[in-house]
Amino acid sequence: MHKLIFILALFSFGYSSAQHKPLDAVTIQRIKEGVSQVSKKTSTISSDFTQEKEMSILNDKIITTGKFYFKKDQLLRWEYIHPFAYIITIRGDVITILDEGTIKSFNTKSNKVFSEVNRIIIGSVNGTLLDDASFTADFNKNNSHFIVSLTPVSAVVKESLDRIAIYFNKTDYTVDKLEMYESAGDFTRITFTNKQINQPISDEIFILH
Amino acid sequence: MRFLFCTSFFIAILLTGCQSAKPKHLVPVTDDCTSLHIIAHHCTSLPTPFSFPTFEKALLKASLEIREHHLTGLVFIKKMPDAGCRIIFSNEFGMTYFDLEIGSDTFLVHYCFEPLNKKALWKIMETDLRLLFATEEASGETGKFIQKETNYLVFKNKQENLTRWDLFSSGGDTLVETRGRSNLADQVVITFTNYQQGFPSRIILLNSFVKIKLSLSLLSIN
Repeated sequence: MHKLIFILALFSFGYSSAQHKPLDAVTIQRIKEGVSQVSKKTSTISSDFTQEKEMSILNDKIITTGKFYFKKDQLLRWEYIHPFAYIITIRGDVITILDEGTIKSFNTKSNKVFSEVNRIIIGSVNGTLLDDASFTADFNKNNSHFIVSLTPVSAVVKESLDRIAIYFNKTDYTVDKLEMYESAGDFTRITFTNKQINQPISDEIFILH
Repeated sequence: MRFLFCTSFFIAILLTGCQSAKPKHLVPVTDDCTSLHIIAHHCTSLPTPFSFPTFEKALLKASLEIREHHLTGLVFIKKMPDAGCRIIFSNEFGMTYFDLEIGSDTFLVHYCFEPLNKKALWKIMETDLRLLFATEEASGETGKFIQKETNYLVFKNKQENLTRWDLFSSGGDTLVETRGRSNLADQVVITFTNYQQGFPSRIILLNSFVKIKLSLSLLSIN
């Protein structure tokens, strides 16, 4: 039995190594510069997204889909379409939610998890998270992506967030996928598709009436 | 800070210790309707109160206000083999606020993010959630009433740790409201509306003095 577990462990290690290859310092520098340059040139992003939350203990998954909009510097709009209609906009420190015709606004400071996730997403999009002192970064790659794993330095953050994996497209250095691994074992994957970069986006869509 | 938080909850509980959860204008009734002269149409038979259909899992949109904290996201509920429930509340981006398990004899907080991790708060939340999920069997005094103004059928159940009042529509086929108060915590009022296929698609739990409001909207159930 022990031998079987050892063999399985060996194979799974070999498998993961084949999937994610660690990178040398030159490649890491190239990724940082690539992400930084793309970020400087990016003023808007719109895309579809699919969000999957996997609950390991329950062996269940929650899947939501919608539209994502970003406009420099700190405007975000998450428009959930399925399984519910729901819009969140974030303008700096202010979160506004449109839910069933009702608008609610509150400060990100009243919701620390929200505030932290918002910082991670904006930091991933504009590349600042790679040099963020509150994370240690580990660089890998697979066939299509450079994968940056960020581990929180702060013990407080570590209590809820184990690590974040950001999948940068090897061709254009934009973010294709974000994975947030929680300390309790669950994880959330957000996959961005049909990305439109630098298409005009009105400020109006970040204001909910 | 933690001390202040706990102290303020304790004072709130002391101040509201005498506040009753009992609905107003109740007329006691018996199964044979001996004292039901006020509302004659119930005299032939007292309806068996409705109970929610059984389900395996449910997904709800949720908003939880606890004083200055405002949390929004999704609540996933899964029935466990021992008839208890696992309840996971996460924000819109998937990060978990809390993950807990509630059964007739258990209340386990598997995970809770730090700002919510207060013992006093969870003691109150336990009462609130026990009322919502009706996890306790009646173990003491029970009673049946009609509410004069609304004609609602009202059932009282004294349980080990709390007293609950369930208000049903006059036909007994819809649970309209649940009220309760534990020995420790303040009174809680839960309203159930917008029924679809036997389930309320809108649930609001209000613990007004300690300022907890949980709003749930049903997204899917099976």
